[in-house]
Parts: sequence; C-alpha cells; structure tokens
Amino acid sequence: MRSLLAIIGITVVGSILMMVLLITARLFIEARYLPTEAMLPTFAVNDRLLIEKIKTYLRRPYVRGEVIVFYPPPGELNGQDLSGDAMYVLGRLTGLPFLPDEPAMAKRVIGLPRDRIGIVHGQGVFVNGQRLNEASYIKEAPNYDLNVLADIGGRNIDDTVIRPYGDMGDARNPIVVPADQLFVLGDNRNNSQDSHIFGMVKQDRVIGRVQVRFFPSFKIIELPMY
Amino acid sequence: MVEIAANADGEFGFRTWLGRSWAIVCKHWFLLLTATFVRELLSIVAAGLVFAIFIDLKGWNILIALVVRCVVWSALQAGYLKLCLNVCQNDKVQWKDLFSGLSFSLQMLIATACLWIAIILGLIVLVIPGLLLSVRLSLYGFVLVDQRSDALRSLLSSYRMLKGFARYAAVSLIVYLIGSTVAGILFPAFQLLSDISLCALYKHICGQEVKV
Repeated sequence: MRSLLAIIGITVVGSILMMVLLITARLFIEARYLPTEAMLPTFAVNDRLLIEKIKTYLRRPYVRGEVIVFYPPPGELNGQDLSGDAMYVLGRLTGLPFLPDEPAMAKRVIGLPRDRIGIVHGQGVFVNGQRLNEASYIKEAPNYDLNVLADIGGRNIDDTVIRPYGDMGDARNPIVVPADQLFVLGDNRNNSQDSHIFGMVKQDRVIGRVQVRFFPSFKIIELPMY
Repeated sequence: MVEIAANADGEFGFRTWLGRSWAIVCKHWFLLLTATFVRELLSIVAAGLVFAIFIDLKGWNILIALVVRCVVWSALQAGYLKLCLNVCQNDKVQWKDLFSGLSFSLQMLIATACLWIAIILGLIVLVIPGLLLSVRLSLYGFVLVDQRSDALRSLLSSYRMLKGFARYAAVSLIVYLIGSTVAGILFPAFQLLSDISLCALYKHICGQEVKV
C-alpha cells in the first residue's frame, strides 16, 4: 500500500515539477527544428536552432537581418489563430511532444516599423528606395514584384489563395510597415511562405530570435552586413 | 583509503538491498523529489539569468550559462547526496542539508568533469572500458561528501570500493537508464531508487547500517 501511494505520489508530483522545470527553461531559451526549405541556403531542412527569448521580453528593437521565429498570422492558417485551449497553452509553454503543437516559422527581418518596402523581379528587395545587398544569404533573386499592399498575396500553407490587403481601401498604397509589425522574408525567396504572401507580422507574435544552429553543426548566427 | 566492510555478500543480496532502498524511497519520496526539483530549478534559473545578463555576447552567453549551471548544480548535488546519506541513516533530515554542499562544489565539479572525460574516452576506446568506468566510479559523489575527500581521491576510492560490488552499481545504473528512457512519467521514481540504492550500497561497503 505504501509502495502504491509512493508511486502515485512520485508520478503526480514528479510530473507537475517536471512541467515547472520545462516552463522555467523555456522562459529563456527554446529549441526548434526547421521542417521546410524556406531558409535555404542559411538553414537546411531539419536544422536545429536555439531561440533566445530574452530580447523579446525586454522589448529590444528588432534589427534588419535578424532571423526570428514567430507564429504566422491567422490568414496563413485559414483564419485559425493561436488556441486558448488549456492543452495548446501547455504545449506552447512546455514544448512536450505529446501535447498539441502550433506551427511557427523562421524568417529574416527585412522591413522594420515605418520602412517602405518594394520588391523588383530579378533584382531584389528595396527598403526606403535603397536596394539591399543580400548576396551573402539569399539563394536567388525574387521572381515576383511587390509595390503596393494589393500585391501581397498568394497561396497559403493549405493552398488557399489569400489577399490580406486586397479588400482594404488603402490597397493601392505603398507597402509601409506599421509601427508594431515586421516585414519578414525567407532566404529561399521563391520557395517561402512569408510576408510577400501573408503580409506583415505583428511583433507580439514573435517567439524569439535565432541565436545559434546547434545541429548538425554549431554555428552562431551573425547579422549580415548591408 | 576507504575501509571496506567485511560483510558477506550473501547477507547483503540484491533483494535485501533493493528492498531497503525502495522502502527508503517510499518513506522519503516527497523530500527527495522536491530536493532534486530545487537542485534542477535553481541551476536552470541561475543559468537563465546569466544567459539573459550576457545576452549581447552572441553565443558566448550560452557557454557562460552552461558553466554557471554546472557550478550551481554541483554545489546542490553535493547537498543532495548529503541528504541521501542522512536519509539512509534515518538521521534527522533537514532542508538546509541541500544547501550545505557549497564547500564541495569545486571538487564536485572537477570530479564530475573527470568522470565524464574518463567515461567518454573509455567509450571511444572500445565501449566496454567506458561502461566499466561508469559503473566503478559511480560512488564518487558519496565518497566526496561523506569523507570530505578531493575530486581525484573520491574517484579512485569509488573505483576501489566497488571491487566485488560492481554488479550492484551496474543494477543501479540500469535502473536509472530504464527510468530515463522507457519509464516515461515514472522516471522520477526510477531516478530516486537509483540514487538511494547507490547510497545504500556505499553505506554497506563502508560497514554502516542502512536504517529504514
């Protein structure tokens, strides 16, 4: 009887304490893997990344060229936003594999608040009229144009056509990043679900910044020189 | 040099040894479980804070945080082992024992580092030497804390003490391995049983009685 009580006690209390440990560790740092080719050639499929979350808590301003991990806007997931269900919340907090998971993306920050963004087919990305020198990290030049908000759109993860700004009155306005948002792109420009499809990302959806790749090889992620 | 008790191996026996160890775990599970939790939590928080403080050091902050975690963990591990020794003697167990290992933290850190280097080298050489070393050196923590020994002496003592008792330590480590690989949420129970059984083995070899 004493053994049974001990086993039950250790299992229940041990599980709770392990959850607390996991949540505590994930307050500072989080490990994730890349399931897609969207960040080639910087990161390959199945690369394991360490994401630091401290700067996000401290509300440090984002820097152009940083790679961030974030929850995509609801439009990318057919309107489905982050779930408030207890199991999903626990999954977000602990990352335990048997709990439900919500998709997150890793992309490079290109447009900061108040930046004006333009993309020219075959040439590259223009920020405030200046072409970015992205030779050090992109796979190839974009094969699409982006001049006004109405140009943003395409097929989302579920292959549904989305136009996040298509119905808005200011759809013909140039692409200017709002104060609390970011314009993000994958390094594999023509094979990436990013801001050229789902639009700008609110900063409160950012999980953290990629600090190192720890598998298959260790690499500290440096900021590109523009 | 550690004095090895002349108890006949037959008197000890696997059943008696594991039975007593489990009885101790059943009696003190909450204390032992929360002590391991506090050890892990404090080392994670200390490492996390250092990681946050040096956040602009790009990658180096991870290394510094890892070192801090090892130092804090070693200090608390020494206290935890002291707690285990007291529990096995049925002495009055106090929470402050967990924090009484600060003076051993450096030696514990060195001993743990040496242990891992030895095991990894042993595994690289031909697997078997690494496994043997992991078994024969498994009592180093108890020697270090109980006899106030230094890092290298505690490793050597553990190696000598387990001559003739290695199979018991091997069972303890197998219990731990089963716990950490296939036991799922029962992992803490296996971990506590492994720790206490090693402690009981140490007590037995030193000729001290394990009281439940």
